[in-house]
This record gives sequence, structure tokens and C-alpha cells, in this order.
Amino acid sequence: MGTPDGEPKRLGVGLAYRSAFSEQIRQNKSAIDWLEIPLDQYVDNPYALDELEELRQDFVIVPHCVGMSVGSDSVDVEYLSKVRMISDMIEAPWVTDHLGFNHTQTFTLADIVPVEWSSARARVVAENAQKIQDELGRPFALENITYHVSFPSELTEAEFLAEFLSNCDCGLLLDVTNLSVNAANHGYDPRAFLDQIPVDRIIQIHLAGCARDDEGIWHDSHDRPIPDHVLDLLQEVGSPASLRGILIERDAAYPSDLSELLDDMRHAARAVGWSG
Amino acid sequence: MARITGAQDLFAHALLEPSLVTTAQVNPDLLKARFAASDADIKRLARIDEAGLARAAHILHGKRRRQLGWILPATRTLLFDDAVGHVVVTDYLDSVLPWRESDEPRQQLAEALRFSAFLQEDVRVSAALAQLTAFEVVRYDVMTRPIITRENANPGRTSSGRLTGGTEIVSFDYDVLAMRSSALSHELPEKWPPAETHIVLHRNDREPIRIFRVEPSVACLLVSYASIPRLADLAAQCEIELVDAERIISQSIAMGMLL
Repeated sequence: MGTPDGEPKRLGVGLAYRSAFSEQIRQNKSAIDWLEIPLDQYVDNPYALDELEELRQDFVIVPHCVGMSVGSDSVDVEYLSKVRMISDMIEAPWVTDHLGFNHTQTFTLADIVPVEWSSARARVVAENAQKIQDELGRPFALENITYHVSFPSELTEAEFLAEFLSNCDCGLLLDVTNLSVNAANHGYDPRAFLDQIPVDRIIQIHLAGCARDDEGIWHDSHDRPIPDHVLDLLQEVGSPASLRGILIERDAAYPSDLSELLDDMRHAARAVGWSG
Repeated sequence: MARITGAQDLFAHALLEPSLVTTAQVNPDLLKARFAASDADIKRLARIDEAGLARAAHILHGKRRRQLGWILPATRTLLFDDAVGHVVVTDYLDSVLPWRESDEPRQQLAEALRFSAFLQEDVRVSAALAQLTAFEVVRYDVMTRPIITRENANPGRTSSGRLTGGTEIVSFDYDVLAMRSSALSHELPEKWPPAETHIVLHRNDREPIRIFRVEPSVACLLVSYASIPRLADLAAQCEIELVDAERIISQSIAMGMLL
């Protein structure tokens, strides 16, 4: 699974596995380099693990979690052990979650929201992420999320990312669509953002469709092909040596066949110079 | 008094109750008294862009509706949404449910909340709801928790949860839960609900992989699923007559329980 120096090998361009098009994925397995699974669908669900066993016969599988809540004060060790169990079972090359939090000592939120962008919180996130990575025994990366409001903080998001990464040796899952959406909604230059973060820590990239609502607010809708402006931004990111995989996400308006998604995969590969 | 333990707690609470920002701007002492939050955190809360917060809160509520269901009319949906955090449940119970003293809606509410707790398999919420509703919170171990991921919770994405078993994953809509309490409490055939029901989950090749023995209330729920074409296969595996399902659904519609 890894390179001689222990680093995961480059997987190529993959697809987020959704049962809605599981059959199409199997039919097109030669065109899909790897799969990312929503890991939480398999936690505490031993019967669903059969599905993973079947999938891993044909694909390298990378788990994507939603439950680590790395921005919280501590790590949920019980959840972590379950993630470890599944990651071991499928021999995951790395594991990812989101850079945010969804619970505090008094709340559980429905979604992952941004942390307070401060040096103190960057250290907490780094400590949690490092603990997770050490416990998992494989690289762990965090994804930049979309947000519609942030807590007034001492750092910018990019500064926070850089500081968090300087305090641990975990990786970054750069969601280029999320970056584009946030930049549009909050009025900053996504290219300047890229200049401020350590792109050599990016091990995975997410891409998805996005849309603007009636009020002019952008959402990572995951329901359409990847727009050109996101592919242009991907081209800016390029292919840093650390990058192991690019992943296409689709969560609604599933096409009847995979052609639209396969086109997305080709466009992504071309943007970073991976196409043959 | 809600116990707030830091900036993120306060931020999270503001997402659930955006008026806190206004309160922080005009009367920080009130907020301080209510939450025992620090001056510094309250000052930062007051700096949050109100329009942005309202938008974020709206989106968050939308996601919650999609996650936990459109099972009840608006006010009750709010409550159901916020069943995720029991502090907020209490707040909303007091603020949006003036009719809570009425036994019938209270019972229906309790039923819904029982399902909420069950669906989330969140022990803290379950305990809080048990106290709140004076109902025993029942854990149905015949079903795994619904699959709620960020992916299926975002705007424009699926509103379904999933009942999982074996390799077959069956989607369902939470809407059907609402009819459950009425279905159980009104005229039904004598044999309904049966004392015991078996449900067989099977692989795509129809080979049974797990057989559940479930209590009647869950059977009733699954009967409701039978109205959804995609779940016909599952319903057909239950020892339940589908004609009863149709009757229950008709009754529920007549009672205005279905949205």
C-alpha cells in the first residue's frame, strides 16, 4: 500500500462511494483509481462491513469521517477505536475528517462548524489530530470546511491552517470547492489563501459541484459537475509532491450513468497534469 | 443556567439561538448571568455579523430538518430538530409549545422524541428526554442508528435516513414516524398490532442474512414504510398485512398527521 519510505503511494483520481451508484461504480471499476467511503455509515454496523470487504477486492479505500470533532477539547477515544478497527480492516492508506467541531461540552450540533481561529485552538486541534494519527497508525488529514459565519478570531482561516499544521505532522485534505465557495461568500482571494498555507502538506483534494442560491450565497451543493472556476483553482494548486489522491464527490442529482462523474475525473486529472 | 465553558460553546449556542448576539450587544450582563460566560467571550459574540449568523443558523436548522426529519408541523419540527442538544430542547419546549399541558399532543410529542432519541442513539439526549417527557425512553436494538453524514445532510441533498442491515441498505423518510402514535392509539384490527413480528433483511440475492424479532411499535413503523415503493421488498418480508398499512396511512392522513 505504501512507498518504500513508508508514505502512501499516489492513488490517482477517485470517487466518493455512495450506495446510490454502487452498481455503476463496479461496472466502471477500471476507470476509477480509488474510492473514499463515508466511514460513519459503517461504524457500529457490522453487517455493512461485508460491503467493504467486497469493495476492497477491487479498490483501494480511504475512509472519510465526520465524527472526530477535532476542534473540540478532546478526542472521543471510543469513536476513534472504531475508526481504527475499520481502517485496519480495509488497510486504509490514510484517514480524513473535517477541520471543525460538532460538539462541545454542552452541545451537539447537526453539522461541522468552524473552530475559533486562534493560536490556542490551533494547538488543541493539532494535539487532537496528532493523537488521532498516532492511534490510527496511518496518515490523518483534515479538510477545510465551508462556513457561513465564523467566530471573531485573532487569525484568518489560512493563518490558522498554517499554524495548526506547524504544530503536528498531519496532512491537509484541501477541498478546492469549499475554498472557492468560502472565498466567494466571504470576499477573499482564494489564490492568496493558497499562498498562505503549506501546500506541501496537502495529501488529498476534494472536488464537487457548487451552486449559488437566490440570495447570491454559494453552497457546496455536490449535485452537479465541477464548474470551470473550481477546476481553474485546482490548476493553481497543481500537484504538490505530497498529494496522494484527488476525489470527486457527488451527493445528489445522481446521473443515471457515471459518464458525468468520469468526465469530472478526467478534467481533474488534466488540471493537475496527471492525465496520460 | 446553561453552563458555557468557552468561546466555542458560546458560538455553538449562538448558532442555535441567534438572538444571543443582539443580547450581547445591548445587555451583556444578562448574557453573563444566563451563561456564566466570560466578558471576553461575550464581547466577541457581540462582534459576530448578525446577518451572517442568521444565515448560518438558518442553514443549520435546514440541515437538521433534513437530518432528523420533516416529521412534525413547523413548531414541533423546531423542537425535534433541537432534540440534538437537550439544553435547547428545554428552551424550545418552554418557548414554542404553549400547548404542552394538553395530554394528547404531549403524548404524541413524547412519542416523537422517543424516536428521536432512538434514532440518534444518543444516551445524553435519551436521558434528558426521559426526564422531560416522563416517558420511558426505549432503545430499539433491532435497528442500527440512522446514517447521518455531512454528505446527506447538506442543502439540496437527500432527506432520507437509512435503515441498515446486512449488505442491503434501505432508505426511508422520517415523515412516516409521525403517524406512529396515532396509528397505535386509534381503531385498528383486533390482531393489530401483533404481539410479535419478524423482519427479515436479505441480500440482493434474497438470501436472508438477519432475522429480527421486533416489538409491535417497530412493526407499525415498518408497515408505514410499505407505502414507499422502494421499501416494498422489506415490507413484504414482514409478517404484516399490507392492507393494514394502507388503512393506517389513510387514518393518519385523515387525522392530519401526515405532512
